[in-house]
Amino acid sequence: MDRRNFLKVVSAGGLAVAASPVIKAADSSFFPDEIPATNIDEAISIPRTKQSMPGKYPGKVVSCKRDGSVVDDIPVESIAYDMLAASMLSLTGCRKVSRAWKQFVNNKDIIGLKVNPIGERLLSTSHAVVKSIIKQLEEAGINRSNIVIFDRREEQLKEAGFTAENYPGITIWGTEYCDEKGSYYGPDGKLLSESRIDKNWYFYADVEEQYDPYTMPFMVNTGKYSYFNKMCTQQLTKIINVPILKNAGTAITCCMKNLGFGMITNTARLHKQFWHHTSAYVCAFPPVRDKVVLNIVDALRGCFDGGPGANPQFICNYDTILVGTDPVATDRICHDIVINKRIEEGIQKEDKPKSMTFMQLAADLKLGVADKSKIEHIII
Amino acid sequence: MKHLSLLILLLILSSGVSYAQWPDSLNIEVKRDRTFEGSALYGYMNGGSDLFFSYGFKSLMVQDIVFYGEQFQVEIFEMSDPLNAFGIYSVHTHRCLKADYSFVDEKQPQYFNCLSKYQLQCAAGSKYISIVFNGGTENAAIYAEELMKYLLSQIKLEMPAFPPDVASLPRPFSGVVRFSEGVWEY
Repeated sequence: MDRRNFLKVVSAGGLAVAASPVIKAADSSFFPDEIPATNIDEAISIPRTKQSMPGKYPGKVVSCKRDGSVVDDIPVESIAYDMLAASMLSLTGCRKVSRAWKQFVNNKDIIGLKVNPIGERLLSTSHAVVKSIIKQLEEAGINRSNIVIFDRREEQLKEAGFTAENYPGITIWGTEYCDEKGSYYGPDGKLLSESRIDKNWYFYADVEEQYDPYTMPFMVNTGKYSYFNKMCTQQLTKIINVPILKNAGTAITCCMKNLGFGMITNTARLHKQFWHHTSAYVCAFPPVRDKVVLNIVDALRGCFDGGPGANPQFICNYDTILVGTDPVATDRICHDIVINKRIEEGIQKEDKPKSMTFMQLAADLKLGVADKSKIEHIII
Repeated sequence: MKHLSLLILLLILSSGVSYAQWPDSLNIEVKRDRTFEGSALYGYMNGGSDLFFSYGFKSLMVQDIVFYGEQFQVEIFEMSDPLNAFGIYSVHTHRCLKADYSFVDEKQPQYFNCLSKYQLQCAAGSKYISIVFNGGTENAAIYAEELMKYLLSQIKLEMPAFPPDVASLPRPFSGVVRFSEGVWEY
């Protein structure tokens, strides 16, 4: 589409003159009365492993805040590196950073860094944090060829700067991708992304939505099944979750949401119907539950409203990195950071416990600790 | 993607939308452009889409452009009606540096706007428009105003059907009046 076509819509004011009633925000579907049937029982019937969530340090979260970690709205890599190193030492009790990393990964692992690039250049997992992780992995003896940066959308990874040029020797991979000409479909008319999903692993939920042709490349399939991507089911042996800290209404989108909605297809139906359950349930499936060994929250920059989209007015510097093996406990600490900021900014007056529903659901599935009084929160 | 663009173009044509274009005099370089219709918005902002759907989202056109050497991202959201356009705009505005100021010589502008460090937003007719400028400089803001001024000249301006107690509030509305979850806050 060229610039002329782009502006056709600008002049379409006459189209929407009918005074349709204002549609209310989707709070009721956010917390539905009836929960659709799912296959969560299948997931939890699969035996846990030694490295299943909540990992080596249940209920333990380290947060490291440093003034000056963001300069002119850009995270500073050298400071992020030091913050991450200090956090890893504090979490593990090790004296050497490389030893701390070796508690979670070894040089035979294929390690995926699950980033969040959806805010593209405005607000995505920062290169300061991702490059610091890679540097410390290398110092712990991990080859770059064993590291993968991945998410659902290859195009957004590229726009956020996760490219071969910026990360030489590291695989950049997205479930949803297009060819060099920009087509999401192959010569056979099938979505290219279909080759990247694993139909042996799925999250079933008794809700469905039909998608139009424009939406299909971003959903991959319709129906009541959401399939896990092959990267997490077949190729990676360990996953390091690297979300950024955002609000989602009066809740947050951080560790669990980055995994829950980042690993599967056909998510629009789940956003609408039961966001909280999906964030928790998907993490209970072995490709996620048994492979995510560490959560590193990039809260150097984040947002306190307008999330999970990225709107400059609500982007702020939290100047913080949080580290934990327990995604539930980590999200619980992050929740307070965002809600306190929202209250400070006058966006909301008080915390809404219902917005932590997904954490309690995850705790019920033994994925971590949601009760703040039982969380060991170390501030360095 | 080419097929998709053609489909979208056909849809736009069949809707009887009249044409406009960036004037050559603005010397705009388009680096990237995308269109998202209906639920395809998930392809742009994932879970952030639901908020837009709750305000009757219809379509989005996004362009990354270069104007006077500065980079801008222009987003034009077509909502179901002016009230919904104001609603989605109102929840995206916060602590404006300048609010509801006139781009042209008017006493009572038929649009709402909010300038912040990196962004100029506007609700006009059934559209919510956001122009993000990475530079954050004073010049970038002035250029964004120039872009917005042109866009506004192409839009059929129509005031939202505010309830009487809201309509009687003094300007500025932007950054002050919010329409969230069906509730007016001011």
